[in-house]
Amino acid sequence: MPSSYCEWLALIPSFGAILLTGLVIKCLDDYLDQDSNNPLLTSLGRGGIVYFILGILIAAALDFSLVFILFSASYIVGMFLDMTIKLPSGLPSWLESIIVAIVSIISAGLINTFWAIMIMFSIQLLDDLLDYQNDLINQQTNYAIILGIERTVILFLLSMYISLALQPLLSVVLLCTALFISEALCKNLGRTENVSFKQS
Amino acid sequence: MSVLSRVDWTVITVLITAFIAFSLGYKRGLCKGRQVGEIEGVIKLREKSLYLGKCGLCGNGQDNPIKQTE
Repeated sequence: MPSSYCEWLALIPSFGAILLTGLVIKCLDDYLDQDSNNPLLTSLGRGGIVYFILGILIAAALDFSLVFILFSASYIVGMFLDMTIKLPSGLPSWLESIIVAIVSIISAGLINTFWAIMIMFSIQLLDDLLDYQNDLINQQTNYAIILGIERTVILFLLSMYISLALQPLLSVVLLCTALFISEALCKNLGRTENVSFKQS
Repeated sequence: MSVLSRVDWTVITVLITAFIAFSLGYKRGLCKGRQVGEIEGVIKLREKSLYLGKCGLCGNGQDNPIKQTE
């Protein structure tokens, strides 16, 4: 934990890298799911993918190793539910996940990679818990629907606890950033109101 | 980077045990619920057929239909 202002200042590039990486991952995920309810994505339009690359480049310039493990972890966690499908590379998704994990371990170390996977998994679970009602209506893939809310909460607590035990400060910063991005920046409030109206 | 302490391992073990126990209970409950549901479903269908005076599936009539009483 930083004990002086200088140490906190030294962490600013890492915080910036986390924010940019979170934005890129969220927008990329919505782009792949063709989710038109992301106001940031709709405002970027067709050229959005260029901004994603630019965003990840700037993030990598700020803190390369952190961005690398977070991006790799989000890739691996994203494949958890579809381990058997064949990807455009010709390889099954489980094999690609293993390759990405090995590259990440070589680049940043085993514990850092494990921490990144745990924190990204906990963020995914929290996101699924928050979107439970919407995904139930829209028949989207969701851990809370597949496993049940109780088991998803237990898994979230487990992965969050491990992340906090390994890297407390970065875990808290990542969780807050992810919540800010998904609930404040990239949420279309109009759609939420329509869903509430449907339910009543 | 902090290494996991004994307390951390205890909490992790408790959570993993809770997850496994919950999963086993959920699976057992699902099987038991399906069994009971199948039996109750058959009884309900026969009851309905009896009060309707005809088969609930194929519609074939009954000679002496019984009046439904609550």
